[in-house]
Amino acid sequence: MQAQCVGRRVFRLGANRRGDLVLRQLQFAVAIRGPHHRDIAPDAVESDGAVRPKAFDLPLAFQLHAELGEERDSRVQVVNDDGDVVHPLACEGRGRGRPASALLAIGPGSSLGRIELPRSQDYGGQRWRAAGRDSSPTCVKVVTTEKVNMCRRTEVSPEIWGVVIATFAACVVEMVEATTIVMAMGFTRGWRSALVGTAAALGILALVTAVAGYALTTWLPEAALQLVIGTLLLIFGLQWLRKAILRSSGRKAVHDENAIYRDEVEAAQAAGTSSEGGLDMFAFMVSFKGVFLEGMEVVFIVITFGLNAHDIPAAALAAAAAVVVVLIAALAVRRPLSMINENLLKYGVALMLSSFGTYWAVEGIGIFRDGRASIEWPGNDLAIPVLIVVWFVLSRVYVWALRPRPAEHAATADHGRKARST
Amino acid sequence: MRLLKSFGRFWYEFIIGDDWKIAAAVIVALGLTFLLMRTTSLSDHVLAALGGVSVALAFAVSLAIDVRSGDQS
Repeated sequence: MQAQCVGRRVFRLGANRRGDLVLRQLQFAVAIRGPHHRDIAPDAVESDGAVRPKAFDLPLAFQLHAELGEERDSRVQVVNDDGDVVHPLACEGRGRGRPASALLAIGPGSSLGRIELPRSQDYGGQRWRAAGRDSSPTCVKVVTTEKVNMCRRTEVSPEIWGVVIATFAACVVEMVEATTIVMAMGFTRGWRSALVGTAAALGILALVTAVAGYALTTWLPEAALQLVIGTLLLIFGLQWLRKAILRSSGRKAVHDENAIYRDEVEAAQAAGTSSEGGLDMFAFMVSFKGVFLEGMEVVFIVITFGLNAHDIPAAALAAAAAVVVVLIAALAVRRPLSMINENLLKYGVALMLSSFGTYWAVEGIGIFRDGRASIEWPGNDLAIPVLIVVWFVLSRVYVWALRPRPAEHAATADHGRKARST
Repeated sequence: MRLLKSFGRFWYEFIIGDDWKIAAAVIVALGLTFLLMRTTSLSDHVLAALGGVSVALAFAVSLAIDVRSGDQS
C-alpha cells in the first residue's frame, strides 16, 4: 500500500468562496449506484463538468467511512494500489463545523461532482473515504472544500468551548432567578401549584426550542442565520453588558436575590386565593411566568449558539447541566441562591454574548454582497477570544469613566440628607 | 387585536428590552459596516475590524446618552 498525494490536481474552493457553498440540497445529476449510496442520501452529487461518460458507468458505491482522524490539513491520498480508494484528510481552513462539501473526481483531470454533506451530522474527528468498488484503475479523489469539524473528535474547538461555557453560565444566571420565584411561591402558597407551573413552562420551552431550532435550520440560509443570530446576540449581550457596567460603576443597584425573594413572598402573602382544578392559580401563574420568561433567554442562547457552532447538543447539554446544578444547590440550601455571585456571572456572560454577537453579526453582513460570502475576520475563529478581551478592556474603561467622582458622591449624599430631613 | 398587541409587546420587551438605544446602536453599527462593504473595496479583514470598532463606538455613545439623561433603569 502506497500513499500518494494527489491533492495538487484537485480543484479546491478557497475560503473566500465559502458563500458558494451555502447549504443546498443539490439535485442528483448523476446516479450513484451501489448498496451504500444511502450513506450520502441527504446529499447530492452535482456534475462539475468535464466528466467522462465512462466514469458514470462505473459501479461505484461511495462509502463514506468514519475513521478516527489524526492528520490535519492534509491533502487527498491514494491509499491502495488500485487507486480507487482515496482518503480525504483535508481539515484545512477554519474548523467551524460548517457543512462539509467534497469534490469527487474520477480519473485524471476529470471530476464527478461535489458532495455536500448534511450539516446535522457530526463530523467530529472523522475522516472520510470515498471508495470505488470497481477494480478499474479509475481513481476517486475526494477533497473537502469546506472547513468542517472533521478530524476533531479528540479536539474540541475553542468555539465549542465558548458555546458550552457561555450557555452554562447564562443558564445558571437565569435558573437562579427562576428558582427564587418558584421557591417564594412554593414556601408561601404551596409546592404543588408552583411545581406544576414550573413543569408547564419547561414543557412549552422545550417545544419552542424544537420548533424554532427546526425552522431556523431549515428555512434560513447560513449567512442570514449568522446575521440574524449575531444581531440578536449582540443586542442581548450589550444590554447585559450595559447593566453590568452601570452596576460595577455604582450607578445602578446591584441585583439582590434576597430582596427579590422578600418581594415575591410579600406579593404571595398579599394575594387572594383563587383555585382551579385544585391548583392555586396565583402560585401557578407566577411560577409559570417566572420560569418561562427566564427560560426563553436560555432557549434563545441555546438555539443561537448551537446553530452557529453546528452543535446544538453541546449547547443543550450545557444548559441542562446548569439546570441540574442549580436545582441541586437549591434543594441543598432550601433558600434563594444569593450566595451565587450573579452579577459577576452576568458580566461574564455579557462579555461572551457581545463577543460572539459581534463576530457573527459582522460576518453575516456578507450576505448582502455578490456571492453572499461571509466576511472573514482576521485570524478567523481566533478573533473570538480577542473580541472577548477587547470587550472586557472596554467595559473596564467604561466602568472607570462612569464611576461617580468624590464631589459627585458628596453632592448625592448631601441631597439624600436634605431629603430625609424634610 | 389585544392578543396581537400582547404578542408584539412580549417580543419587543424580549428583544429590545428596557433600553432601545442598545438595539439602535447595533443596527446603526451594522448599517455602517454594510455601507462600507458596498461603497469601498476594503479587504474582509479590514471590514471586519471596522465593523467591530463601529459596534464598540455605537455602544459607547448609547451608554453616554444613558448616563447623561439619567436613564439607568
